[in-house]
Amino acid sequence: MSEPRVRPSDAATTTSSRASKDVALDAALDRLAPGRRDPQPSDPQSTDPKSPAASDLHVTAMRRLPPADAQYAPFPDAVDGRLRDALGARGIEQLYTHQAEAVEHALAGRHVVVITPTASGKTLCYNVPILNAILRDPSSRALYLFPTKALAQDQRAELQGLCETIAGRSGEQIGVFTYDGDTPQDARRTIRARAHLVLSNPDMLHAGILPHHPRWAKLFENLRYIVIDELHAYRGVFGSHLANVLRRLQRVCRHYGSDPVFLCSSATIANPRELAERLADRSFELVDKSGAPRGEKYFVFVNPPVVNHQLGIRRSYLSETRRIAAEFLKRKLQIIVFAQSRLSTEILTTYLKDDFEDHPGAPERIRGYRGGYLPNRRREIEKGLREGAVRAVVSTNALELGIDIGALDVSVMAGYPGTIAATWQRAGRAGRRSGRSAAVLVASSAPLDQFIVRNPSYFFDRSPERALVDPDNLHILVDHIKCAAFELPFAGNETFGRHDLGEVLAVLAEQGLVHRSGEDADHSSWTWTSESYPADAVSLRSISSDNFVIVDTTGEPRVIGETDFTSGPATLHPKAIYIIEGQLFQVERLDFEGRKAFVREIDCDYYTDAITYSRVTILDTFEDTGSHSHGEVRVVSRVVGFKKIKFYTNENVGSGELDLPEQQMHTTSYWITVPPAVIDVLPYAPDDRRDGIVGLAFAMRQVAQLLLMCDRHDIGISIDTAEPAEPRIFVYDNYPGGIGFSQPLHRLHRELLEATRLLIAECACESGCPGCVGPVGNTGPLAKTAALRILELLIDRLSPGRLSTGSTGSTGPADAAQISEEAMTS
Amino acid sequence: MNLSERARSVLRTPPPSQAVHVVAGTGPGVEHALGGEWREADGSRLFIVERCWDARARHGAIRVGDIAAELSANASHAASLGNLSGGPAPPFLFFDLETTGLSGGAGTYAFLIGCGWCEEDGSFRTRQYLLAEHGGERAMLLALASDFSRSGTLVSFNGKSFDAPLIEARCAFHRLAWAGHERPHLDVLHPARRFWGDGDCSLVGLEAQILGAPRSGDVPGFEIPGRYFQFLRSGDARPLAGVLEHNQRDLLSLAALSARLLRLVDAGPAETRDAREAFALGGVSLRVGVTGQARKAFERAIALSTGLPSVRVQALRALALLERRERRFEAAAACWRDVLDVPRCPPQLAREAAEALAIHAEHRARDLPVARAFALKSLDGDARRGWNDAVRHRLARLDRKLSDEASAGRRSLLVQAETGFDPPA
Repeated sequence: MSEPRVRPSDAATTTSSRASKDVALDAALDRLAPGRRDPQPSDPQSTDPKSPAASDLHVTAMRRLPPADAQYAPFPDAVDGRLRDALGARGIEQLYTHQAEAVEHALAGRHVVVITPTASGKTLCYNVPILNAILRDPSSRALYLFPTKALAQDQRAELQGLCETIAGRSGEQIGVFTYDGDTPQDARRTIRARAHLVLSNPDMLHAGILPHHPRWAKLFENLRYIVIDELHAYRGVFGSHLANVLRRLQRVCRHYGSDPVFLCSSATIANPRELAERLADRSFELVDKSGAPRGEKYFVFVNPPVVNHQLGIRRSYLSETRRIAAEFLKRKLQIIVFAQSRLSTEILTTYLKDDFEDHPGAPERIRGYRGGYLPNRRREIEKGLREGAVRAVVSTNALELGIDIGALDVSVMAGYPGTIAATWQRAGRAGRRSGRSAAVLVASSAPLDQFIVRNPSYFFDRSPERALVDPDNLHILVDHIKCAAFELPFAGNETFGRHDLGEVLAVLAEQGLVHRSGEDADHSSWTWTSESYPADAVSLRSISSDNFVIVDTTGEPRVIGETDFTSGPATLHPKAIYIIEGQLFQVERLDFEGRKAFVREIDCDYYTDAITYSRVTILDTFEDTGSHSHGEVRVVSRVVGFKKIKFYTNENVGSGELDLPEQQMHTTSYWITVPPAVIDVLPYAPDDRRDGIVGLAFAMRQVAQLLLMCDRHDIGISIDTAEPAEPRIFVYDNYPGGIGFSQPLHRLHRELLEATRLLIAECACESGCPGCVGPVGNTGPLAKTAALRILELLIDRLSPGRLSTGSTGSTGPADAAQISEEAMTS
Repeated sequence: MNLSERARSVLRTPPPSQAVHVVAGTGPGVEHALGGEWREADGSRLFIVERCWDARARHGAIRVGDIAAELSANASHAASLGNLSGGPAPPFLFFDLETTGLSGGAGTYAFLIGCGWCEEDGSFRTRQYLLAEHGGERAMLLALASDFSRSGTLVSFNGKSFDAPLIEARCAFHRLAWAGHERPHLDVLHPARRFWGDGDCSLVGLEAQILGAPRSGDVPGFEIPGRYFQFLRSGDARPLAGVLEHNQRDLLSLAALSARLLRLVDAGPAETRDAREAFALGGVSLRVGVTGQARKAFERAIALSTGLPSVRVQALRALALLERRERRFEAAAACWRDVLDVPRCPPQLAREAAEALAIHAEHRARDLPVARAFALKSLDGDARRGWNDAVRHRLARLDRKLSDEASAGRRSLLVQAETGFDPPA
């Protein structure tokens, strides 16, 4: 949002109403955690998880984030008077320092990535240089890419407002259009001719614009700027695809003689500049010091109390969220509640409606919000939030990105969002430029949630995750080389990514997809010689176009979803519960060859978790330190059975056996080898040692997910105990060809072990639970003890004094110091 | 695994066997196989094949020389056949592309562009540009632009939706201005559908049906891209000979069909051979405002339409609308009644006819009970909502008028009773 400097509504929010809100917030916080807010709030004392709280809730942390004043800078001289005038008319007389810095870079033609906290006015960072360029030369064009269609619509509304002001004051007409799958066919020609600013998404660029670039010749000839909003969304598979789409985009730009400047904005991640440079293959300037003002904010961590110590079962985090939300709502504070799934969104909405809406037909003050709602309903909810008529919204991550809903008082998160970056994003949905706000994280019993809530400093005192991409994953790269060859013939001496392009093209030629003319590299070219339209077969959101479709046979058979090939057997095996939009289906038959799963609607209180046996064979070792390595592997996996897991409590309530075909995948992996020296000193029976390894792997998977900023499905784990004296644990990229997780994990080896040890040691359960080494019953009684002992021995062997075997532990000493300090404070 | 092997495993393709390795350039070259010539242009080479049909040669039932004669005699009628910007003028330039696919996008291009025109002496000449080597496309487009610039009207078959946008995109690809914009462009597909649309409306189908010149040994369209790719890989141009011939024949037939259409427009309804042609001619005449000819054409269509109920209802409807426009209401009503008499009349036409008759009865014939009966008939459960709302509105008005009339009738009875006169029988 680029908000005007002085908003009339801000002034209208009188000091007294502001103050009364602050009082209400203080009261609610005191109720949640009596006595925890007052003393030096940033004092580490106040975050001590062990200090007994008088409250019935288990508040593990309460942090105060101090307010900050605005820092302003004047408009750079090069900014056109007409633009300055229009901005002035909208209440913007000067820029924040970070905006001015970004604008300077953009005006000078330098690629720039801006780190932007919520409500810091990121859109001005790119709208100022772009509108300036168009005012100076009306033939200039810019392309904006947003990860979702909704964001593009939101931005169009804002840009159009600004352009209307410009038109009203100086008569300059600037065309702003969205171009996506919803754009009607008959409007497309007009847009191609008239749009100065095209707002689209990577999928549309990939399949709708680049393959038809001649129709867009005017855009590409005059393309001055490319905006990539929400850069942090492009990680993993999606990011690796985007990097290739941008390679194609830049080829097309070269063809038409343009060389656009990239302007990116990102939420706080550890490596914004590196990510931008990987995606766009250019050098970037980084702007990361926000000059935007910020009100005081409290950040609270809540862990629902344990109700069954033996099984490690906690009170439902959804009920806990309901109670906490109620504390704020009954004090007339406006809140947003983030839920982890569409199902829990609907459940929480129902709870809060029950509690706070008087009677059916009364104005709806509590609303749900998620993907699947129609655009009109969404716009209505967003407006209700901005105007205050809606007092609470319960949302999936759909509202995590920059949709304008105004600034709310409190953000309550039901469950850890999965990454530090996303948590800050969601917390940022509450908070104004002045006055107090709060963010509350309610942990579920998932391991990651438990780790975070029990180790607050891991969240508060550490940089957020690194976003990783691997644009040269051969599976992804080959698809885009096809698309690129379709778009423009490849010159013999051209490059596209890290691999030898000529060798890949030669393989495509064997298939008849391209044809090479001319003999020597400098004078030859590769032309597309196929009737197909390759972009249609490539989805940017998955790695392979091979997939399973899900057919609902409850009534008239209809396709209700699809799942990529790799995860098909594990999620669509017979008797599996398939969930879509909160609706439960049971798989009745899986047609493996036909790639179809036939499901029927069902009402049950459990979901299923497949038991997959996998065997990993090392094909090539890239780096090896003796204790840990990474390289290329073959994973052969087979789904052999499944467990039925009860919703919310994660209790195991049944199981079944399955017989499905094997799947093979070449990918990259990180692995650790537990040396005989460690195994030999373990004072346990062989079976207990094995349990220790299994439990260790279970916990490592959770922590790896945390460190890699990835989804649970992105990585797989496998244990190799063929050599009982020297077992191995593999953490592999769960995508053919790998997606770039293995090397970073190898580098983070020590951190991974330390954090895994913390996760297990901190867990309140007796001998294992779903929150650490896995539920009892999965593993033996000694799994937890043995896993901890193994970890301690492994970490011990990493300490500097023991590093004499020529291994090159790649974790920096600074990291190590930080970890051990943390270990001591906990 | 090396990169090639990994790429093959990604593509799930086996390594190539040695046998399929074709050494380029072993077959006969293009000149030898196709009989054209190379020309230097715009820094690259252009391969051109020309062919001429003598005026005395026959194309099915028609003489080539007659095609030229009809085209030049009836050129002024071209405007009635299509939505032409600018006045269509001779000379006509027929064009047709053979492309590397139908999917569109930058990877689809024309490897063969054929142009055809009639010469002064009545012969028909085709000129084809073949993309015989990489890098020749720009020169080919420039040569085409120069051919276009010598023409008065472009004529194609489905060219407005396919060929012209494709050339336009290729021009944009090479940063060339697209010359086709300034010329009137007649797309024969649309009038052909109207005049002969009952059966196979492909060029090859029409050729057999209308021109009496069935093809034999033609290369089917789906084989064409593959033959070109084969030529690129092997250098052997022989598979292309059939493609060139296919394209030449398309051009000649396109010219012959255009001539036939213009002849029909010029000669009027008497020349039409069946109900459909007559009906289509009526539409064409109506469009250019020759209503007298339009009426005759529709009447002929109706007369010839025995056994063709679909054409019959359309012709009756068209005539009814024309009559109403000319304020011959009784004649229009007669047509609408005939519409309702056609067996298996499509419901949307039946309700349109019933509505028209209800209006006629209410406002012209002033017969309210009949109007009410037709209005009831025009109710249709399958119609869109607004339709039935309008009908109900009409019915309510008719009922009001009918009850007003009834009470007026009662009043007159009262008057009669008081005055002692007997009501008329």
